[in-house]
Amino acid sequence: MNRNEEVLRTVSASRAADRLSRRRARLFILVRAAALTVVSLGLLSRLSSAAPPNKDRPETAAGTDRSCCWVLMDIESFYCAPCLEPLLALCRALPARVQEERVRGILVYEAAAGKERSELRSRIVLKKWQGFRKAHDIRFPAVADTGPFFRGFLKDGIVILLVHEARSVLASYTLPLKSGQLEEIVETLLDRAEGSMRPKSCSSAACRRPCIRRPPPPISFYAERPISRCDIFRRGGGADRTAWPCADPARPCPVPG
Amino acid sequence: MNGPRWMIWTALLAISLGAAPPGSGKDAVSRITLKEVLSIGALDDETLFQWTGVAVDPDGFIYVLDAMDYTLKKFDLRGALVKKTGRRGQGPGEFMIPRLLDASPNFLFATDQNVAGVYVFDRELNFKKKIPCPTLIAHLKALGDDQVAVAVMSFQEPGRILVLNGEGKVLSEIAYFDKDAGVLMDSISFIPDAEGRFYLAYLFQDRIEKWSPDGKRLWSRNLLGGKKAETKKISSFTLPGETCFKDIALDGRGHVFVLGGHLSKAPSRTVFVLNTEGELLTTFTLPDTSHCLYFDRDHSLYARANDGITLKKYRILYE
Repeated sequence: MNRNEEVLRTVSASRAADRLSRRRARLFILVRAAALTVVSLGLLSRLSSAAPPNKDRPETAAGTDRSCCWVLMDIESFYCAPCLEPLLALCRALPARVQEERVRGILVYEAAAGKERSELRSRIVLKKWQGFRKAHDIRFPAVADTGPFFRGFLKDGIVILLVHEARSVLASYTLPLKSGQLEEIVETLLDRAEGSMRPKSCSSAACRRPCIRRPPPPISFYAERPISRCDIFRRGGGADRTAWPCADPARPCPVPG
Repeated sequence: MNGPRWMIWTALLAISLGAAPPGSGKDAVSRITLKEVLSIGALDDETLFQWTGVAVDPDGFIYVLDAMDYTLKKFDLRGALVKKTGRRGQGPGEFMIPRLLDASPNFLFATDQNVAGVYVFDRELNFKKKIPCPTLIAHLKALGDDQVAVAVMSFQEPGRILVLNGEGKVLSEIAYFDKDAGVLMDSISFIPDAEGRFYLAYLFQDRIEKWSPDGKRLWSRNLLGGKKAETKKISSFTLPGETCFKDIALDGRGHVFVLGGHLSKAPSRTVFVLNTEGELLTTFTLPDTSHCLYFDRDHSLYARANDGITLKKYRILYE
């Protein structure tokens, strides 16, 4: 064997090794992609189980004529009044049963370094949600998530996704909402529900349903006010709304209907 | 003749050894360690969800504002919840974003982030009144049952510290910021001492200052080697994106405690300990990140843990 043959053999051996390592890398990427898909599907199924089929309502053959609502939230956005008010208005507008069955919260947070710290962070986020939910009598539950899937939607504040049961996103709304969007979300969720879920009339004094007929606060409440330092930090407010007693949109409607 | 000479030499020796009158803060503290004595709120209870302000009354009862459930809570000396009040709203005793809290011997003073005024509660958490304030409040300290000091800021004029009486009348004013250095650059935390002097920590500047009651700057110090907070542009505003300092407190023994922000070695955990002349004595690190420091009358330190779900009380061990 001369010197050239030896070099050629070495080169071909090294090329074979390269090919092998490339194949291994491709295989690794495929396995990783498969794992990510499994995790994503698991999360999606966990969320869609959030909207279990209503036993009282006759299902269609495909069982895919319902829509539900995912509320993507960053805990910090709870200090942003312009983001928070529409969320609370949505909760007031939806009957408890609809919230429980059709709405799910996803608390998107930054993962901490290390598994233990990340788990602690998740528990902290859920604990804060627990306090917030109780304070506002919010009925829909939430899960905490750090994954890129929801983070992609949540650039800022709170995002509401209307999702078809077949897992396609029907619409995405970033809070504060524009005029008419709240009604659009509410109507979508109520229109797809059976008739008994929709408050028909609040004329009865015994009506205990949330006051759907009460109009939401005007859009100017959210947007057309002077900017303040607090707005800059997404903490909302600005104007000194201190007149007592005030028409606080967070309060339940005192008079049914 | 020998008597005065002896006294002079003794005085010189005392000065050279660094002795100083009590309360001047020139004692040689070289190391500070913390001993946890109380913890309120855990991950698996419903005590605290996101506390923002803390105050302790002369009997040792602990009061906490909780921004997640919009309440003011009272705890006994062992950390058991005694009472709570408040809900979301803008009526008397209600909060939208509860934030700052302090206590005088008989009253509690609380602020709501977007309200230009101070809410006054008695120690049983009954709402008493609202002290009006010309603009939004960035920081608050009680000076007595009928007097509060507030740091106010607005776009129109630079930050000031106002001393208000119970009716909102401005009794005195310190204009600590005289030039326009940018939006929010005048944000401060402050603490008054028993003689009415104010110690200021700038949130977005490497500056700690001491001011006399009549509005004269007594000294100004850098603790971070003159580091500058990074800024970012939001809309048409250039805003600081990092904090230099978060809070300032006095331990009652002549030490000034300054909580470092993002730019300190351990962000939101490094505490700088200064004497009353602004000389750095030592630093120590809190076990968890905090947004504030508070000392009660027994010189115990209160700070945050678990991102606001837990309130920790520490005894300070000086060496």
